[in-house]
Amino acid sequence: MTNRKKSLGIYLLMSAAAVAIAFPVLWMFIMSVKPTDELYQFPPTIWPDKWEFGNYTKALFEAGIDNGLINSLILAVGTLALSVTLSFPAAYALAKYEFKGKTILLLAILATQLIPGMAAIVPLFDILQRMHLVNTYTGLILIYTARTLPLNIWILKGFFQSIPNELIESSMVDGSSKIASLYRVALPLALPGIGAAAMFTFMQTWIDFILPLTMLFNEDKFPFSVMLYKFVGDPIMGTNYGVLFAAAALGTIPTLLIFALLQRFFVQGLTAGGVKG
Amino acid sequence: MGQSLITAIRDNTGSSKSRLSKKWAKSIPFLLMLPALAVMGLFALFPVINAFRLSLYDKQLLNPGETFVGLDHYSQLFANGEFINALKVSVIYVAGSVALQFLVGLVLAALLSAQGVKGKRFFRTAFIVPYTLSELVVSLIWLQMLDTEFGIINYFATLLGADPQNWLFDFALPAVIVANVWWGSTFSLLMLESAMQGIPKELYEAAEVDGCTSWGKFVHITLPSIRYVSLLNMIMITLYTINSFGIIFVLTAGGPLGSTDVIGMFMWRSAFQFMDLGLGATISTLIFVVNILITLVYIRLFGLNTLKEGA
Repeated sequence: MTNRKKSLGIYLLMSAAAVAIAFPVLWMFIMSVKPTDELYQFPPTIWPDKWEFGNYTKALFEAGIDNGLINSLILAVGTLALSVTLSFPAAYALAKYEFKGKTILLLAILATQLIPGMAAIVPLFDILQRMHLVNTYTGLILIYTARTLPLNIWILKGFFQSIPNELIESSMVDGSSKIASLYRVALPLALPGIGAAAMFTFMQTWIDFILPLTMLFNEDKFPFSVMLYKFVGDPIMGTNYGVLFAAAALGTIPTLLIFALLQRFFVQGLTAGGVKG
Repeated sequence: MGQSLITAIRDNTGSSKSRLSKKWAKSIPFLLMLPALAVMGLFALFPVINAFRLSLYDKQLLNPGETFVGLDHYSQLFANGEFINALKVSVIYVAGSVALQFLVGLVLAALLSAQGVKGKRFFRTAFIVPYTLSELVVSLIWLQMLDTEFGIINYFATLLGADPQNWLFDFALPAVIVANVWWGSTFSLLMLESAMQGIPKELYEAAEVDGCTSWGKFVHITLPSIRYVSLLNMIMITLYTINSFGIIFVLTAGGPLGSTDVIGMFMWRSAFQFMDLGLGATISTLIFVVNILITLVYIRLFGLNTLKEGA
């Protein structure tokens, strides 16, 4: 009896917390289907009287968010590809080879993860300017790659360590070189780790805002987040919250889906990369 | 690493094949790591050095010329009332964000880890949802919800019998802290929950035999078992909060009257609005110093050996 009461209490608390935490996100979706006049009335309607899906087509095709989403995708996938490609061999070397200074190197890699990048925005701007990479995707992708590499290396290193050496050695008996065996044997076995690393990288790049706001000037290059920001108080669009939140919802759906479907993956990756250290 | 490559090639001309392959084998791990280390070196480590270098120069944004000014920017900063204000605001913002974010994460993690709870996946998903949002989307949602005239928070306030408030003016700092905590608590939840999963069940069973209450178990078993991860979590969210200002950028842009002008916001304005890259770099350098100090505290508290074990 007391146990049932207790678990009832826990369920009540968890439900209250779930509602409170999820509400702002649900609110975004509700706002995104409200017609303009309903957006500016008080008290606000919790459930829209009329559903206006036109906000979505307006956001996509009139406000040009389609272009922003494509740009975000280019940045996120570009970073993901580069970061995973580079972290894969590095993690392999750190997991399977012994060499002088390895511990210090691993600590240094961990340390770059502990010094987050936002304070670096000013010196990075200077570096990109010198390399003529301001206002380019290449510049942003390189910065994102540098930021996501430490965690990706740590995640993948954990996976490589769990692959027995014999598996890799046995493939070398038939004369295949070390590098080839790395890709033939280790790659398929490390796929879950690569999945977790890829997901982290995609998420981090997709949700970033200040960096592209600072480093990109041309509107046709803006990822969806920066594009969205430019609509706040836009003279033509006004701050039409309906269209704005439709656009925000469109930009949120990819990460929401990734998270909902691959939740366990994510927690696993977080544990491997962040907590174990 | 480039050295070993050169030696390997040089050896190829003279000495035996076995020595060559040995040299090659030795350089393989370095070759494998080289691209990753190069990118990290240039875009993660070098900015720290470059920030310090730039801080010694008078340099305007978009202008390639620079003049050496020594430590002028530093003395300028500490005589600047706005900077001192930014320091104070940052301390409140970071302390408030970290304390609340950790607490909310801890409570949620404890609820999710409670024995016999079903539907964990559902609840965890609901708790995780804010984390999937972009910093900008988070800010836009809160901007609308906190709106004086049409915002739903004022609607809830009137339901509770309170007067509508101008949240982003009269309660600007608490409001941005709440938005930030709402967004960031997921991270604490995930870390603390995975730490709680690692606690051996036998400990709780033994405590139950001794007649320990749920609260007693939480205080005497759960909290001590997760203390290292908790500390790590707090340090990570501290660093994260110091280094982010996107929510403030959108919600208040540092105002009103500098009441939410955190150090990151001040840095961004100096460099990209007032185009003073040198001054911006000086603030960056100071933020880096704080970051490094916190990292050292982290190493000190955990001990280098814990880190090495992980390595």
